[in-house]
Amino acid sequence: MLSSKLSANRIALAITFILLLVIPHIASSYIVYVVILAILFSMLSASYDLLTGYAGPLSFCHAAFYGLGAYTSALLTLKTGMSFWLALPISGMSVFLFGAVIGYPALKLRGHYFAVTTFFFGHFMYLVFLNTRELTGGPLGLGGIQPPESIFGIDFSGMTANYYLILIFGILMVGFLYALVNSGFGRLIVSIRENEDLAEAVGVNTAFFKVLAFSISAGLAGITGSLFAHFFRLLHPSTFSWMTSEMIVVMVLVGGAGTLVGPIIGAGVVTFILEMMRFAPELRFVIWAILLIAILVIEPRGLAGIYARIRGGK
Amino acid sequence: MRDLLVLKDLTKKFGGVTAAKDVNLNLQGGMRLGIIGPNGAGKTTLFNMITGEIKPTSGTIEFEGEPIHGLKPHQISKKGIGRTFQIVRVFDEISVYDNVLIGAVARKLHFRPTQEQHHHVDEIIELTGLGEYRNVMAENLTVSAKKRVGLATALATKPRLLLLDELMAGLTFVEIDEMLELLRKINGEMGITLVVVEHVMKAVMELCENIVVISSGQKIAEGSPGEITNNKKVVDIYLGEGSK
Ligand SMILES: Nc1ncnc2c1ncn2[C@@H]1O[C@H](COP(=O)(O)OP(=O)(O)OP(=O)(O)O)[C@@H](O)[C@H]1O
Ligand SMILES: [Mg+2]
Repeated sequence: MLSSKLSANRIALAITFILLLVIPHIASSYIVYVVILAILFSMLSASYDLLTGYAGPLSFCHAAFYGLGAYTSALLTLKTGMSFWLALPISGMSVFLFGAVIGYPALKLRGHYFAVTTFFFGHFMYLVFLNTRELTGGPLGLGGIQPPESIFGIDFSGMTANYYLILIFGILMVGFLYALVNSGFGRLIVSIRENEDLAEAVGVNTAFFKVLAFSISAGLAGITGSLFAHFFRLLHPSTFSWMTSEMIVVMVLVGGAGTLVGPIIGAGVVTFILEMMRFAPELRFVIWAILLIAILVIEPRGLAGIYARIRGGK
Repeated sequence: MRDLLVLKDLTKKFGGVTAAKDVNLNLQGGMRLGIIGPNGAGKTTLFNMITGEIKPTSGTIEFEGEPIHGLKPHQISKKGIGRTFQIVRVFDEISVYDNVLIGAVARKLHFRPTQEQHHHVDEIIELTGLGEYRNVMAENLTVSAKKRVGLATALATKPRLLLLDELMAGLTFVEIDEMLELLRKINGEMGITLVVVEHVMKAVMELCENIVVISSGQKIAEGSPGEITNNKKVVDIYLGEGSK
C-alpha cells in the first residue's frame, strides 16, 4: 500500500520533471512564458509556506520582499554595473537581513495583530517603490534592466535560457525548503505553529525561530525577485502590491498550507487560471473568492488534503 | 548535599490578589515532593514562577545553585526543568511520535534528528505506554492519553526536575495506579526529581516522601505524609474547604 503510494508519487514527479525539461522545445513561447511565471510563483508560495504553513504566523507582505529583491538586484546592476550573478545572492542576503530587522519587532505580536501589521508593512513598501522615483522610476517603472551575463557560453537574452535558469533555481529552492522542513529546525517551527506556549516550555526559543523562519522566507522571496527582474527587465510597483501578496496566500491555501508540494501545485493552478482569465482581468477577484470558498468548503487542507483523502481513503 | 531547587521568599501579586507570599522551599535531588492545597491556593502560580511563565514580584529561585528567576521559559527548560500543564497541552495536529520528538529536538538541535534521538523517543513512548498511539494525531486522544503525551514530551527534554500539575485529575482509579507506577519509575530508574501538585490525596500520600501544604499563597505545613495527615492546621483547612 505504502510503496504503491510512494511509487505513484515518484512517477508523477518524474513526469512533471520531464515535462518541465522539454516544454521550451514543444510549446509556444507564450506557454513557456506562462510556465516561467508559474515557477516564479511556485517559488514565492513555497517560501511563503515555510513561514505561514510551517511556523504559523499569517503574513500578508510576501510580495514586498519579492519586490525588494527585484529592485535591489535591478538597481545594483544598473547603478553600480554589478554582475547579475553577484547581485542575486546580495539581494537574497539583504532581504534576509531586512526580514530579520522587520520580523524581530513584528513577531512579538501574535495572531491577528501580526497579520494586520504585515498587511500595512506590505502596503508601505509598495508606497516606497511607488514614490522613490529617483530610484525606482515610480509609476513609470524601472526599465533597461539587463539579462544575466552569459556564463559557460550560455546567452540569457532569449526565453529558453531564462526558462532553464529559473527552473534550476526553482528546483534548488524547493530542494532547500524540503530539506529545511524535514530538519530539526522544521520540527521546531511546527511546534510553534501547534502550540507556542508549550513549545517555549519544552525549550524552543520561539522568538528566535519565528524570526529565522520569517527571514529565510523573505530572503528566498528576494532571490525570486532578482530572477524576475532580470527575466522581465521592467519593474513596476504594482507587481509587488498587496494584491500579489494576497494571490500568494490564495495559492498556498488552495494547494494546502504546510505541505510544501501543495503550495507549488496551487501556484501552478492559480497562475494558469489567471492567465486564462486575461480577457476579463476584473474578474480575477471573483475567481479568487470562488476558488477560496470552494476549497475551504470541500477540504480546508487544500488540494494536498483532497489528494491525501483520495490516496488514503479517508 | 546541595539542594536542587531553592525558593527564597517567593512572592507573586496579581493586582490585589497575593497568589504566593514569602514561600521558602529547599528541595533535595532525587526526592518526590507533593504540593497540596485548596483551589486557588497558588500551586500553579508557584510552578509558573519556577518555569519562567510568570515573573515573581519578589524573591529568588535557584536551580542547581544558579539563580533562574528572570530567565525565559525556554532557557529554564534547557537548564533541566520540565513540566506538564494543569489544562493539558499537546501539539494537536501532529502525531504522538512527532510530539515527543520535538522535546528531544528542542533539547539538542541537529540538522537532522539523530538515530540516538529517535531511539530515545522510542524508549519514552514505550515507557509511557503510548506505543499503540504512536502514529495517531495527538488531538484525537483522550484526556488521559494526552496527559501522558505531555509527560512524554517533557521527559524527552531530559529534565532533572519535573513539575507535574494535576496529572491525575480526570483519570480512572486504574489509570491513577498506572501513573503512580510510571512516576516511581521515572524517579527511581531515571533519577528525575519530582514535584507533583495533586488533589487526588491517595495519589500524593502513596507517591511522595514529603508534602508541602499551601493555603492562600502561603506555605502552612511541610512534612511526611503521616505528619501532614495528623497536622491540625491542614485538617482544618481541608475540612473547612469540604464543609463550604
Ligand atoms: N495570570 C493571572 N492573573 C491574575 N490572577 C491570577 C493569575 N493566575 C492565577 N491568579 C490567581 O492567583 C490565585 C492562585 O491561582 P493558582 O492557579 O496558582 O491556584 P491553584 O492552587 O493552582 O488552584 P487550582 O487547584 O484551582 O488549580 C487565584 O486567586 C487565581 O485567581
Ligand atoms: Mg492549579
